[in-house]
Amino acid sequence: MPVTPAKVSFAPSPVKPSPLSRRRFVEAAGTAGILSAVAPLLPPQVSRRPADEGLRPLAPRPARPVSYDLAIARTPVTIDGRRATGTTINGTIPGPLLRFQEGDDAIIRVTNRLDEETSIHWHGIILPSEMDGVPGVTFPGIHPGETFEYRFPIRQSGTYWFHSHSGFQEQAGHYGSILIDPPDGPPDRFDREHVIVLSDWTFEDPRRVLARLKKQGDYYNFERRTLGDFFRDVARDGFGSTVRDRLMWSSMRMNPTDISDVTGATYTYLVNGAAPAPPWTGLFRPGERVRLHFINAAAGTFFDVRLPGVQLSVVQAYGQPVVPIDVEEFRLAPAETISVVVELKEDRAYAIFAEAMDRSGFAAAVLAPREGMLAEIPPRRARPLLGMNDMGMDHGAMTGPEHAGHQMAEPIRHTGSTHGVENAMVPEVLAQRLGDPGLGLGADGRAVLTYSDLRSREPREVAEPTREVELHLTGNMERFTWGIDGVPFERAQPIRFTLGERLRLVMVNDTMMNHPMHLHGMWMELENGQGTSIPRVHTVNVKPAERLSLLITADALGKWAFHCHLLYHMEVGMFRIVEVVPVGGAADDAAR
Amino acid sequence: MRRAELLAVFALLAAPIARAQDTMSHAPHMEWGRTSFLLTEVLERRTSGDAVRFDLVGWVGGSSRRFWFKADGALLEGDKELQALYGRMIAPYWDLQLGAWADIDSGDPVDAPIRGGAAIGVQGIAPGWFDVDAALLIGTDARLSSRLTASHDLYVTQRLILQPRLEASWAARPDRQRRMGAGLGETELALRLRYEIRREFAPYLGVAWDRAFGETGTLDPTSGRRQFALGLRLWF
Repeated sequence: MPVTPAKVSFAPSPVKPSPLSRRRFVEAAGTAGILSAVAPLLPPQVSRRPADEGLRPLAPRPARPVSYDLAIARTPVTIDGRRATGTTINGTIPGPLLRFQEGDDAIIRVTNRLDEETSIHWHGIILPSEMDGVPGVTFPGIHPGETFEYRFPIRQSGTYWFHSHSGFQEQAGHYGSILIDPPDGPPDRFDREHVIVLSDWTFEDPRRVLARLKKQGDYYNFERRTLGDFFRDVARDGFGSTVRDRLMWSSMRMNPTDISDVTGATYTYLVNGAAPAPPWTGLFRPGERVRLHFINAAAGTFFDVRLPGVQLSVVQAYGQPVVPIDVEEFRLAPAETISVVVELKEDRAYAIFAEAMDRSGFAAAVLAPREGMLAEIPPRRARPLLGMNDMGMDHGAMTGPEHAGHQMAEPIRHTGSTHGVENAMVPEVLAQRLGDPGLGLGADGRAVLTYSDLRSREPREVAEPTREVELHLTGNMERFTWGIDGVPFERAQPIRFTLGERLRLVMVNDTMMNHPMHLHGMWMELENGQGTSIPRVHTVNVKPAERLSLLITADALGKWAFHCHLLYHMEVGMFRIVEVVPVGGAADDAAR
Repeated sequence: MRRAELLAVFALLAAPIARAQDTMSHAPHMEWGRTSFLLTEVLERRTSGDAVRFDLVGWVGGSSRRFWFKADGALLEGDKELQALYGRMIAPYWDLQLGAWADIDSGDPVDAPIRGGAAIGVQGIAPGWFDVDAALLIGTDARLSSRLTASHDLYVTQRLILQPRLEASWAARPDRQRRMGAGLGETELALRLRYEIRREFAPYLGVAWDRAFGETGTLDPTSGRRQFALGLRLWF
């Protein structure tokens, strides 16, 4: 086994591992510590996939129809050296990259080789409602044996993705990436680009995962505070303070370690379908500028992404060009995409490191000048704890260590309904938290991207809204109920927009979890204080106890899905239909 | 109602719980349709007595409306108390439950009349993470009694969990057949230390102190013991 010992320098995790994570930790120490060095150690049936050359910028060409054929099937896959069956697109996880140029017409034929209904939703693409691919909302779904032809004009550029909108197929591998070049060539200067699809995989049946969560909401949480943590906190903060802290949380029946529903206890985290060992490897030539398109296709994982030692110049968010901003790390909520340009000067391997927000695991990959090179991964960080800001507590005597020093917008008292029995609580105070990098980030001095940093590269006229719609994100971890305004989808009425109207959508997160909310069919403009550089988003993560607002021009007729992009939250009802009706349409309905 | 009939009724009611599959509506993004859950919080053998003691609770239903089934006592020939209830969420952490209860006394002949009646209770999580189940039982003979169970899970490690659990009973009037005096009757405090090999499968060691207060104490000469227990906590 020719691993050069001098290069083995795995830094131990500061996290005190639970029995389960200790086992994983040992695995990690043996394999992921040095990415790619371990292929010879793996069982013989595991062959290292060849390194990825990446993509070269394409020369602009006249617009034309571009067609793809995609087949959805249950096929054998190897994940982290283990054989399993995935719900794949053309036999791979992730599915293929679809490339277009703005102005093209997309013709995508999707054949269902499953024994259940399937669908594809084109996430972030503005298209006619009947091509949006949400069964029961915009079309009847694709039945077994059927081929559905999607046809839509491509009138935008950037990085997007696609995934199943049926059942739990997305969790089982049914997702892929979309790259659309602008008609006049890319606005960024780079030599090569790679698409980095981050995702989570479970060897369990996703239905079983949800059933377990319904029976025990914290089933997958192996990072709870224990007796040992109590004594450590007593030693650090004193007995009185520790007891007060514990009493406060337990009196609210909330858990400060309740960060992710589904964790590394069952998830294997993937980069382009590969676990950390053997890793996915992307090639570059030293000195090249490389554009990396990060897509979070995970069903339940927020990733904190870094290339240790490399400055990331963020050039695109949600497929939209943004004024470049240099950061060291960014958090990617499920369904979000961020593109960065990096300069890789040295003749060495660089790690791509994407830690799960709750620190229960990580995805990792390698960028290297040659195949089979080693990259060192950084030590894992301790799991964060939710704090006062997440709970929406009025800032009284107690201040959590996690959020000290963050700039908070002026807090607003929560008024009105507590949203019924299916909502556990409402925060006392709400704040806009767009400048807050998020739970567990920002305290170590690293420059972390925030929503406040996003400035559109294409300034636009920002028309004032004529109407405001306020929605509260609600839920109860103990019952694993998630809804909007305390009501799950099955008991909810559609949300009505009038065609052409300009709206302000206010979202209030009354829960202690993050919810990445996605609106189909229309852009949302995130009111982050950037004036005419207001960024356009298709998904926005609403932090615990946050109140934020977006502007929407309701310019797309028809029914559209609006939902939390955490798959298990969506499946239990954190979902609505937004119906855009022509002027006078609402009156018709009232008369009916 | 005779004992055999009662057992048949409970078997009929329990069957859907045992057989129910976790189902989901075929329409997308609908609420997770129905889940079934069965937990034996207590299934143990104690240092004194041969009987295997058990305490199980099960439900089938959605998030806010559930059919509940509860049973506790001694397996096989021992005394048992059964409850079948319809529960509805009335507050974020609380269910209100209404239904029927029945006692099965090991000393009775098979065709002896069953003692039972209506049950009304609340079950949920009290501030401080206390699992609470309190029930008021109204007998067909108009006697009132009540039950209270409260427990708390203390995480020693992520998988080693210490659970103190208090059970108490109360009766409005003495009931010699059920060996209950008026007022606070039998109480038991137990400490169980379980190891969750899986969340669903946890062997445990326990110690229990029981004490019968007031008149019940004179009716139950064995009260006031300390017993050790070896058991298994299971759910699926």
